[in-house]
Amino acid sequence: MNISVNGEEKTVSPDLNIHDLLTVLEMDPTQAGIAVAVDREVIPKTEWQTIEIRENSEVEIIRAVQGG
Amino acid sequence: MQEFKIADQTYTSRLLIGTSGYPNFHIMTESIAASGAEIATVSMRRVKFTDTSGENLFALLRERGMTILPNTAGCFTAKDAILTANLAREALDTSLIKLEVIGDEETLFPDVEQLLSAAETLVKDDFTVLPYCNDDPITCKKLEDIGCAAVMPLGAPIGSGMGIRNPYNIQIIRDLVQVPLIVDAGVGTASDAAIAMELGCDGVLLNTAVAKAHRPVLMAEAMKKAVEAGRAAFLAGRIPRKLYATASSPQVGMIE
Repeated sequence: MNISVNGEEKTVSPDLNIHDLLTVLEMDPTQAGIAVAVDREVIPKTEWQTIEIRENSEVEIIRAVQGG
Repeated sequence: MQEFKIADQTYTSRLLIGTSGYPNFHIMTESIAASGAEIATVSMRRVKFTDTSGENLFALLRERGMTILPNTAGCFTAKDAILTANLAREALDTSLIKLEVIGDEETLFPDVEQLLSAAETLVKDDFTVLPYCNDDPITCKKLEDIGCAAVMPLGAPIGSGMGIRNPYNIQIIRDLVQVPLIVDAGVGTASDAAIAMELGCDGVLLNTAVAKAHRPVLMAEAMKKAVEAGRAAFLAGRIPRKLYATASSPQVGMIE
């Protein structure tokens, strides 16, 4: 299925939860300091293994960067 | 010295420092250390999958025991600022948020209407809201009434280095609000930070003045001293301004 991750179109296998998606993206899902929103809704870490991503979802993965 | 407290946390340093725009990561960490700041601001941005620098700002600040203050910089609507605040809380495990809702790209002045609306939502949602706002006493009072944990009026536009452009408003805000008053933005050099503190501000938040100084680490040290000196001067109480001289040496016993 097609989804968007941080504004980039990606094709991923269906029935993927957020934990799986992060793994596919070669990110460590247990790392501190990141957060995920799907279709502008923040998904708590406790739900990363249960919430499945749907076709055309817009996923945002964010972290802290230098800022003023 | 009275304590500097935000929400329930007490801080020794009254200087809050930004982490952006330093020549490199090393100078940033050295500057933060030299400033003595205990609170550092960060922004929330998309993870770059191509980033191989291995620099992890969150881990670094946490290792150093800093309080991390995420901002909503770059947000032009209450809706975007609220989403950013929620992402920050989830990512960084803090309810602190430096709330910025910008109204105009060129001046980076706040959009007061959107700011008040976002502040109201975030306070209701148990955030500790520190809003970047205009040096307008009425807006500051409204933000306090909403339940913000501090008010952070600008001294001058972000990154302008123009200093405290309206000290009289800052003074009125000081009289009007009970929550911590922190000048955020506009500080260009140490004397600007000292002036803010002499006016009775509880703290100063700055970034560019240090990050873009010719020698950032030295400027960070200067800012630390300026904030301390300004605070001491405020507590000591300045003498009134007078147009004419008053001799400080004795007038009696002069050689005739």
